[in-house]
Amino acid sequence: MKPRLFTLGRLAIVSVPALGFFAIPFLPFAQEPVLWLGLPAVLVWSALMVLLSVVALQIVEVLYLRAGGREADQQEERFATQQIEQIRAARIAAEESEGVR
Amino acid sequence: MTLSIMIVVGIVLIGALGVASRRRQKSMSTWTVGERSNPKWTSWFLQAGESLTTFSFLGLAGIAFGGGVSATFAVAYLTISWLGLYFVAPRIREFGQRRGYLTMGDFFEDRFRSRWLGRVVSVIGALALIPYLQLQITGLGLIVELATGSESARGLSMVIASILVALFVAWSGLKGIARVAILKDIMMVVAMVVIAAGLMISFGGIPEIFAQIAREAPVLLTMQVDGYDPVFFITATLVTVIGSSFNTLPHLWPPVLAAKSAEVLRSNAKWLPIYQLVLFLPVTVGLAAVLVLPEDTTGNTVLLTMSGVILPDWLVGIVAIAGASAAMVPASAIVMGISTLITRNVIGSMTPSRQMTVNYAVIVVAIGLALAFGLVRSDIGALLLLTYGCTTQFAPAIAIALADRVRVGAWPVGLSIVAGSLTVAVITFAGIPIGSWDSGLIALAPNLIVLVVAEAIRRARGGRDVEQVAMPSPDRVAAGGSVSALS
Repeated sequence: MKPRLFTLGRLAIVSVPALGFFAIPFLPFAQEPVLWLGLPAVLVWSALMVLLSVVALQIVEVLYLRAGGREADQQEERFATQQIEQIRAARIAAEESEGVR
Repeated sequence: MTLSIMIVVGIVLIGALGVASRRRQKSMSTWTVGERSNPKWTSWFLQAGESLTTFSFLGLAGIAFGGGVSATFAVAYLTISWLGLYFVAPRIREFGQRRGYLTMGDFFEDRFRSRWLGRVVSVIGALALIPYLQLQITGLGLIVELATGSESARGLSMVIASILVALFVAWSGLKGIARVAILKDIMMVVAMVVIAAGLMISFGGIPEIFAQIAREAPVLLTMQVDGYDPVFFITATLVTVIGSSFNTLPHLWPPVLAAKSAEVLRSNAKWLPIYQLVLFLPVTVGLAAVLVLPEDTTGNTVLLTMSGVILPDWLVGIVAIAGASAAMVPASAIVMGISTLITRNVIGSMTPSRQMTVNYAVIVVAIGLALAFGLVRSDIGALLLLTYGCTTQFAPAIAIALADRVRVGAWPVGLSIVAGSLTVAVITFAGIPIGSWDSGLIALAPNLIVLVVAEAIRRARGGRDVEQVAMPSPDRVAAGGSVSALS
C-alpha cells in the first residue's frame, strides 16, 4: 500500500516555521526599532524562518522516504501523454454514458 | 532614446526566446503540459514564477517605503505556501495523470462528477485572472516609462510585449514559457544584486542604511505603521497562504501537472523557500528610499526611481529589461490559464484542431482586453483584489476533493464558491470598509457556512459520497478497452 505523504505528525513539523512567521507581529522586537547585526530584527527573524522551513521540509521528506516513500517513488506510475489523453477520453465517455455530462 | 531602444530590443529578444522552437505545438495537451515529463529545473523555474513578478519589482519596494518591515508578509506567505504545496502539489499531479487533467476545471469536473461545476469554476477563474493579466502589462509599461521617462515608450513597449506574449504562448505553449522563465529568473536575480551593490556603494554598506532609518524613521522597523499593522500582516499572509497552498490560481496548474514525478514537486517545494530570500532586496531598497526620495513618492515607482538615483543609465536599462521579463512570464502563464479554462471547460466538446483554433482566439481576446484596459489607464488594477479574493474561494473545495473519497456534493461546493465570490465582489465594488482585513478572508466565512448548510440539506435528502466514474488502467485504454468494459 502506498504510504501517505500527509500525516498529522508531518503537519506538526511544518507548522513550527509557519507559526514562527505568524507570531512576528506579536514578538517584542516587532514593537520596537531593533537591529540585530545591523539589520532589522524582523528581517533577520523572517530569514531564519525561511531557513527553518527548508529544514522542516527536509525532515518531513526523510520521514516520508523512510516510511516507504522511496519505494513508492520508484514504483510510481508514469503514463505517456498519449495514454493520458486516452484516459481522459475514456473518462469523458464514461461520464457521458452515466449522464454526468 | 538610447535607453528606450535598448529596452525595446530586450523585450523583443525575450519574446524571440519564447518562440525559438522549430515546431509549433499543435495538440492542446502537449501545448498545455508538454509531455508531462518536466525535470526538476524546468519545474523549478515554472513554479518559481509567482515569486519574482512585477509585484516583487514594483509593489514590494513600495510597501516597504510606506509600511516598513511589514512588507516581509510577502516572504512569509510565499514561504508558508511551499510548506503546503509540498503535500498538495504531488496529490494534484497524481490525479491529473490518472484521470487526464489539463486544467483546474477538469479537476472540479471529475472529482465532483459535475460538468456545470467545472464550468462555474472555470468562468470565475478566467474572469478573476483578467485583472491580474492587465496588472502585468500595465506594470511592464510603468517600468519602461520610469526607466526612460517617455510615455510613448510606455505604450509602445506594452503593445510589443503583448504581441510577443500572444505569439510565443500560442506557438510554444508551456515549453516556451519555461524557456523565458529561466531567463527571467536569472535576470531578476542579477538586477536585484546590481541594485543591492548600488545601495552598498551609495550608503557605504547595508547596516548603514538601517542605522540611518533607526534614527530618522524608526517606526518603519516595527509593525506599528498605520495601515500595515499586525491585522494587515496576519490577514494578508493567512488569505494568501490558504489560496497558494491549495494552488487556487488556475494558471499555476499546468506547471504542477507537467512535472515528471511527485518527487520533482516535493524536491522543488523543499528548496523553493530559499528563493524568497531574494525578496529582502526590494524590501531593503524600499526602506532605503525613505532616506532619499520625497515622502509623497508613489509606492510603485520607488524601486526604479531609486535605481535611477544610484545606478548609471545602462544599468537602469538592464534592470528595466529584467522587470519587463518579470511581467512577460506571468502574463504568458496567465493567458494560458485563461485560454485553457475557456476552451476546455467552458466551451468544451470540439474536434482537436478546432479546439486549438478557439484556444488561439481566446488568447488574442484575453491579451487584447488586458492591453486595452492598460492603454486607457483603466484602473482595473484595483480589481486585483478580485483575483486573489475570488480564487481563494476554491480552497475549501480543492481540500475536499484531494481526499480519497469526495464526501461533499457538487451543488454545496458550487453554491459555496458562488457565495464566497459574490461576497468578495460586493465588498470590492460597493467599497465596504473592512479596515486592514482582506476581503477574500472575510468571504471564506459565508463560503464555509453555505457549504456546511447546503451539504447538510443534501445529506438530509439522501445525498451520499460522490462516486467517481470508474477509470480504466492505461494499458487497457491503449489496448482499446470499451467504456462498458472499464466500469
